[in-house]
Amino acid sequence: MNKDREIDELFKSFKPDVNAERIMTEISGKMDVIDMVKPEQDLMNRFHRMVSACCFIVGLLAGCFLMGLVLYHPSADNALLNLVFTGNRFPELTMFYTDHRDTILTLLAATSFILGSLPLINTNEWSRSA
Amino acid sequence: MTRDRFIQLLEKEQEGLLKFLLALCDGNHPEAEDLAQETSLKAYLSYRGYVERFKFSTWLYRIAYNSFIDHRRKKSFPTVPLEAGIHIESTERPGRNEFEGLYSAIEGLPLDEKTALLLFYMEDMKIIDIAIVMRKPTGTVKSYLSRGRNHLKEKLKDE
Repeated sequence: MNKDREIDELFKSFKPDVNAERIMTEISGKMDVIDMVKPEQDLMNRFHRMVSACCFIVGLLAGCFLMGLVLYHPSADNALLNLVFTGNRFPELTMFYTDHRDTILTLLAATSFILGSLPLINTNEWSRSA
Repeated sequence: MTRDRFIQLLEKEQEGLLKFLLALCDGNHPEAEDLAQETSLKAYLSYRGYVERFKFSTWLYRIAYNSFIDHRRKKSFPTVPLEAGIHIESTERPGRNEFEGLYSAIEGLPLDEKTALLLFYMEDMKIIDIAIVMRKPTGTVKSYLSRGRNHLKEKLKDE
C-alpha cells in the first residue's frame, strides 16, 4: 500500500522530545526490583498451585468415595458409623444418620467436590494477578 | 532470549514506542510515559515466552496497544474525586502545544483508524505487522488505513 505524501509529511514532522533515556533508567530500576521479588513470587505461586491441586484431588476422591457409599454400599454403614461415632455412644446422632443417610452423604459429597474446586478458581486469580 | 538482549532491544524501540503512545494519548506526556513503563514491564515479565519468529517491535507494540485499550477502558468508568468541590482538573495537556496540528487532526479519529495510521506512517510498519499488533485481518487493516486517510484529509482541509 502506497503512502499518501501529505499525511506522510505530517507524521514525519512529529518529533517530540520524549526523553526515552530517562524512561529507560526508571524502567531499569523497576526491573531490578522485579528481579528481586520474582523468584519469591514464583515460589509462592508454585506452592499455591500445588496446594490447590492437592485440595482438588482430595475433594474429588472424598466426593467419589461418599457418592460410592450412597449408591453402592449401604452395608458399609456400620463401618462408617463405628468410625465416626465410635460405636454407639451417640444414639441420637446414629438414629439421625440412619434416617437421613442418603441426604447426609450426598451433601457431604457435594461439599467435598465444591471445597476441592474452590482453590482451583483462586489459583486462576492468583496467576492472573501475578 | 537473555535479559541483556531484551534490554538492548527495548532500548532501541523505546523512543518509537513513546512517540506512538504519545500520539495515541493525544499528546498527554505523563499518560504516555506511564503506558510506556507499563508496556516495558509487562514485556519484561513475559520476555521468556517471546517467540523470536515475530519481530520484537511487533510484539512490543502489541503489548502497548493492549495496555492502551485496558487503560482507556479503566478511564471510561466515571470517578468522582474526593475533593470535587475544591479541585478542578485542568483540561490543558502538558507538552501538547508544539504538535497541536497533528494532535487535533488525529484526536477525533476512531481508535482503530488512528492506530493503523500511526503504525503505518510513523513507525513504518508493514500491513502484516500492523495486523498482528491489532489482531485484525490484513484486509481490515487496509480498510482502516483507507478510511483513516480520508478522515484525516477532510480534517486537514477543514483546518
